[in-house]
Amino acid sequence: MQNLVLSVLLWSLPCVAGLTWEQSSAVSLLRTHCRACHQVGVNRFLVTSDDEKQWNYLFELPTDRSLSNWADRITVVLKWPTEDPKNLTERNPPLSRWMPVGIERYRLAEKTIVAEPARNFLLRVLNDRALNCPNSFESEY
Amino acid sequence: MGYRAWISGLVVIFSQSIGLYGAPIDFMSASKLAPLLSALPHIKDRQIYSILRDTQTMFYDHDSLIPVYQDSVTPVLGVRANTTGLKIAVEGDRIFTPQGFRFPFGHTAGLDQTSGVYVLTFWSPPRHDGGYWPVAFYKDDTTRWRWIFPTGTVFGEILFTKSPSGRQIPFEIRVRHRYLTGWSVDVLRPFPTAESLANQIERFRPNWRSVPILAKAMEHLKRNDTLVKTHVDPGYYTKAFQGFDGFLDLLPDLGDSDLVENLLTQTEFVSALGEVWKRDGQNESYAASTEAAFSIVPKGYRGGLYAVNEVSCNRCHEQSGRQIGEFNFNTVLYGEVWGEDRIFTWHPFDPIGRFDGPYESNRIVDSRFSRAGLLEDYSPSSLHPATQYEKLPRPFKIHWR
Repeated sequence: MQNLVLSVLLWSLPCVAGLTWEQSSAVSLLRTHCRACHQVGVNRFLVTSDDEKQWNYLFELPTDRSLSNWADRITVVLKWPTEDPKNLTERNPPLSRWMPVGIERYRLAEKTIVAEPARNFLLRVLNDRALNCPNSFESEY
Repeated sequence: MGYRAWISGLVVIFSQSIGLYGAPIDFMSASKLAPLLSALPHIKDRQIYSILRDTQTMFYDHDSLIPVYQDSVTPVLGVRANTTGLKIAVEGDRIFTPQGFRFPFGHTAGLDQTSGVYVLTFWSPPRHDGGYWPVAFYKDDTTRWRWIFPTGTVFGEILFTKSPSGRQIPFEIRVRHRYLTGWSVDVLRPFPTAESLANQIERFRPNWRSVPILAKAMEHLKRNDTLVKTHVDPGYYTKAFQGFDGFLDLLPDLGDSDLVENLLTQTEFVSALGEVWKRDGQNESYAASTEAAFSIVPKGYRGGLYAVNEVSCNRCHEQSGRQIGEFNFNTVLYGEVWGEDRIFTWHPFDPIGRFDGPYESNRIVDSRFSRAGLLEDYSPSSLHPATQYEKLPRPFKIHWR
């Protein structure tokens, strides 16, 4: 029983007790590469300078329950079909939303985090968090 | 090698022999430019800081590089210069007036309702092999000339407002940086947020609470419920963008012109990319506005309506070269939206080209560009590699009419 409690505690730790360095790095990547368009307007998901609050916000249930949370939507956009960013004219399939707009898609494609392509790193860390903490928070914003 | 390449080669050899090749063009006299450059603010962005102080960077304004606009619509093909007071023939609705253009493209966004704002443009082409990567031009099948700026080109606008003492003071610097498939953007401002302005006023006027007019301004800055809803009407240009609601934050008069001068000249300009001047719930304004005669932005400035990012700026910039008749049929006599490759202010033509010339005979290239090696006939296979030059996609079709 004791082991079970410990396992549950360890499993849920990343959800309640600060961010891992990977999660902090993921927040930093999002701030760097997404802020021009996603710190403003209706598609805003960068909402606070507090890393932990910002991270948790990505997994909150949106007010409109028909939408997925931001982590899911970011994952869809970052799932490029190749490792290289393509031109906006080369979207495949047409009108799909897998390509971020602007120069940041190139900068993101060139960046690595401990030898791991930053885009893959983001996808992995977002996915890990979603698996470990399936219960989303209600939005404070 | 075609005859054009031979001619280009001869021009380069001649220009090299007299020292013009690879040298920047002096569009403006030193006596006019020097006081403007000496008024440049502190800038956090090291690249822009360096460009603005680089002797290779070229500066021009509306008078020193006169906009020369193209018209590929029959029957009046060619180019014409927009010189002060020139009356433009337009059928039907008078979108253009002798006093100024009311067209939404081709002037600096947010300045429609201001007066006395001076715009100084800077241009930094990338260096290559002792000269420049030049602007590459070509003709399309409408008779219009088009051009591509090489990767690494930087354009920008320094916006000046005039103090009551007559001093020209920069209040904003806009930057566009060409990468292979687009232009990245930024706007540098001393105060990208209302909070940053409030903090600086507290620093410069610690006794602000005892000055009623300043206390009122500070209260305004610290409140979020001051945004005023405004609708941006697309007018004739719904094919370019739909109308949208935006918000302005009208700063009260600070009542202290010395303070305003100090705020603008002694504050480091920082990036406003993705910044919000003030947010009230879902409502956002992206820059300050004011009706005061002298403040950190000019009276009537409406930059608060436009977020600083590529998507926002592209709404207008990607319309360069589009036939104006597409927006409003009554303006078919007036050619295309000025500029090319998403830059409105740069034109390769000599303003001596005249409206009354037949067809293309009035299109004369400004020889300063070719002498300096800054303009070449586009040769994608040899001189202008695909790693450096790429035609940008357009949201419209080019067609003959």
